[in-house]
Amino acid sequence: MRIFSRLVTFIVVFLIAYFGGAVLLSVINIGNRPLMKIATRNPVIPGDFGFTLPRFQEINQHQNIDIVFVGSSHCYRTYDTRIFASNGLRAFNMGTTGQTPLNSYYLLKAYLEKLNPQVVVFDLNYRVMNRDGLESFYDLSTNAPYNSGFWGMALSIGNPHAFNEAISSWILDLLNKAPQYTQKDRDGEAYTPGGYVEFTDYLEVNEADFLQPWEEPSGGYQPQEIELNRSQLAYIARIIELVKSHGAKIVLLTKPEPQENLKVVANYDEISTDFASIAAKYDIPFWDYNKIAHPLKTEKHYHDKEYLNPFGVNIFNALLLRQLQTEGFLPENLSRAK
Amino acid sequence: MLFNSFEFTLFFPIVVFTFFLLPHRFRWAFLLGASYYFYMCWKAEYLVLIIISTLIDYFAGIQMGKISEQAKRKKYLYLSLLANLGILFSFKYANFFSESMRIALQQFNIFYEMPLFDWLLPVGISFYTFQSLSYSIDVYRGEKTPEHHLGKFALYVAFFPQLVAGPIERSVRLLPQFDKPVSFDYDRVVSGLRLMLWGFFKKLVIADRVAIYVNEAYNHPAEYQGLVLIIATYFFAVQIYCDFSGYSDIAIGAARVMGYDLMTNFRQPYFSRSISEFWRRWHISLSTWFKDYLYIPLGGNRVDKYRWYFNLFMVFLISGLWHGANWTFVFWGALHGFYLVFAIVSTNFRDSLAKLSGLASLPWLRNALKVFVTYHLVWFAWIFFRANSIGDAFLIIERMLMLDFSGDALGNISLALGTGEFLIALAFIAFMEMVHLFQTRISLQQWFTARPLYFRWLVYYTLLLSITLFGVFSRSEFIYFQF
Repeated sequence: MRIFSRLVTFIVVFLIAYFGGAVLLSVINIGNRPLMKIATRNPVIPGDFGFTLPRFQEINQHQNIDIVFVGSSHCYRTYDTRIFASNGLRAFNMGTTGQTPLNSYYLLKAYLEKLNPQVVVFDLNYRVMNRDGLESFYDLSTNAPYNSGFWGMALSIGNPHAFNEAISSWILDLLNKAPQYTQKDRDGEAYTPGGYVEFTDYLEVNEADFLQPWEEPSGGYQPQEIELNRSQLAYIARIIELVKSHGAKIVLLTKPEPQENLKVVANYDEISTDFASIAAKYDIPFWDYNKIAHPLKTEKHYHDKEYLNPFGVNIFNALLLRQLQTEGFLPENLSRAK
Repeated sequence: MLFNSFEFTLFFPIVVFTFFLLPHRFRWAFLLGASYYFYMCWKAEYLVLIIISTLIDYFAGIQMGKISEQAKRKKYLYLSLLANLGILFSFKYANFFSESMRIALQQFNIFYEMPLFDWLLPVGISFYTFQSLSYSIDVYRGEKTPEHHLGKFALYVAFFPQLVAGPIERSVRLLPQFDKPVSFDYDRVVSGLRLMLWGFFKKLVIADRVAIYVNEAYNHPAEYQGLVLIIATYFFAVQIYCDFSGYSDIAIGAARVMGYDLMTNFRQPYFSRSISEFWRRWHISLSTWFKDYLYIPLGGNRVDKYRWYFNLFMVFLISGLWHGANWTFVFWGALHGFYLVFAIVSTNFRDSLAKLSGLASLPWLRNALKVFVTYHLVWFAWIFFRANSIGDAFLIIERMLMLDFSGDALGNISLALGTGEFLIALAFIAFMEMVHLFQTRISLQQWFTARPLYFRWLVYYTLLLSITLFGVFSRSEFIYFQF
């Protein structure tokens, strides 16, 4: 009994000491960064890459929207909410750097009620499917305001760094001492209200004149298998259930990639089949634009080996808009929708 | 399963709790099951190798026990040697020798593609084969009676705290402990947990943090020079000590919690005054293994002096090869062998020099100098141990000499760690070294347990908070797993 009570006392005192330590590391700033960020090895520079800061500064202005896009950088560089707005649709792009399904799930849990979308477009990218979600959480805990989803995210990632980040964000929010950052200008890209990030180094060029040569890697393509993290696949299912329970529709989607790029993924077909089977289980669509015919050309419509350029974005978004209409996710006559 | 994993934080308390709930007669079976599960979490199929090694050595031991004449026992010893070294060679060295042979033949314009095996190096193979071998040799020599209980012998080979990275236990020490009933002893459990805490601190707070710096510099040696490479090598000396001694502390502590004593593996080795002392304080279980089963059978120092030098050199060459199938390890071992032989050859000269310079009359200064020189000899050898190739090692040495004290160079000295983390790393290393210095003067264990409760708890909280708030949780493996 004595041992038991001593153990309980030890644990309680430790928790208090841990909390005290976390408060100290959170409020001591080194170069406008809480010391906790150094302790957790958080490499994210506030208000820089990915534009998560302005995205989450404006998120509370959006409610009862038509479409929300979630996913990684492939999401925020692909779905141009202005194109949807010009068709009378209120859209918000909640994509963030390295966002895995685990991160998307807890972000949706935190913001779905407020955004109250009709349709959720969930961009699935194989690149983030073997990650644990810590990279994305580092970005969110640095650039997004504290929200209740942080705890779930931190515990599910299962890394003490994530938990320390979550508790630090909570403490700073509680003490109203969250550092105030401003978004830096970034060469060649710009944030647009609604969450889309545009490559600006193309704006002065006409599509007809633009041609980007594709360079094959020296030594040829070396296909490699990408092992999917089973837990991330489980979060896709949880997202579908969450969105459905909210009464919204959901579409799983993989945006087009240069076909040459897919040559390096030895098991792309398997990955696509895995995504399709999850969608089929919940009777929702999965549109893999790498398997659907489209007019996008590697040399003309891509910024680099991963992302579309603004010409490609325009074409692809028009295509997606049409497909969402024809498949009944959006009204046929958009002008009457509002 | 890694000690520094979330799985282990669940596994260990469950094992300890169940262990103490079970009656003594079932404990060996439970621990054996837990140990096999521990290993299978890494790669289940490689458990077969442990079982093969166990069965062969068990059989060889029993057979040797039936024969009184040592000469007739030899064939069973050979069986054990062949099986264990065969497994070790096939899985660890076959590709290395194949590749080295191919390169050697190329020098004579003979182009021959040697077969390469596409299999993973089984974790801890060098440790459990050596542990199992020591049993066979001890039984052969008549220093140990054969173990008739197959289950307990299997537990001796696979006991999870020391299965994958030692300490390499001797059967005469560990096997009898499995027969002895153990009851829950609060003080012993606390002492074991304390040692584990210290081990986790060294691994997670220091080793894994400085590893970031070391990896960056050593994986791109052509991009760095001077101070960065020098600091990276100092950091590697810290990293390998904290990583390996941290693992040993966790292993010894985990076994102690359950009532088993494993041998001490490190005794502040960087305070050694000579290379031979260093090897009496670094990876003690391996050094004594080589001494008992290789150096002494070769004749030790009871031979003529040239043969003695040869014996020393060979032991360290083989010790280098034991560490890894790469010429860098062979070179590292050879370098230590050379240090030892040179130390013997130059003893008289160094003593004369000490007398001439007056150092002999200042023993504290001479000792400090000896520690400094020994440390730096070891430090220099670590370059070969850590470098990705012999070529890289020489490149690093060459680039170390390109010292640049310009503002830019000094500004970038923290490298991948960043200034904040660099300073955090230095602060924790300083703290550890203060503890080590303290340990050289007194028995820390005795001193610590005599302190009042609040002081002890303060230390526990300091270590726990350092781990939870400043630990690096990248799930990195322990360096010695690869050996």
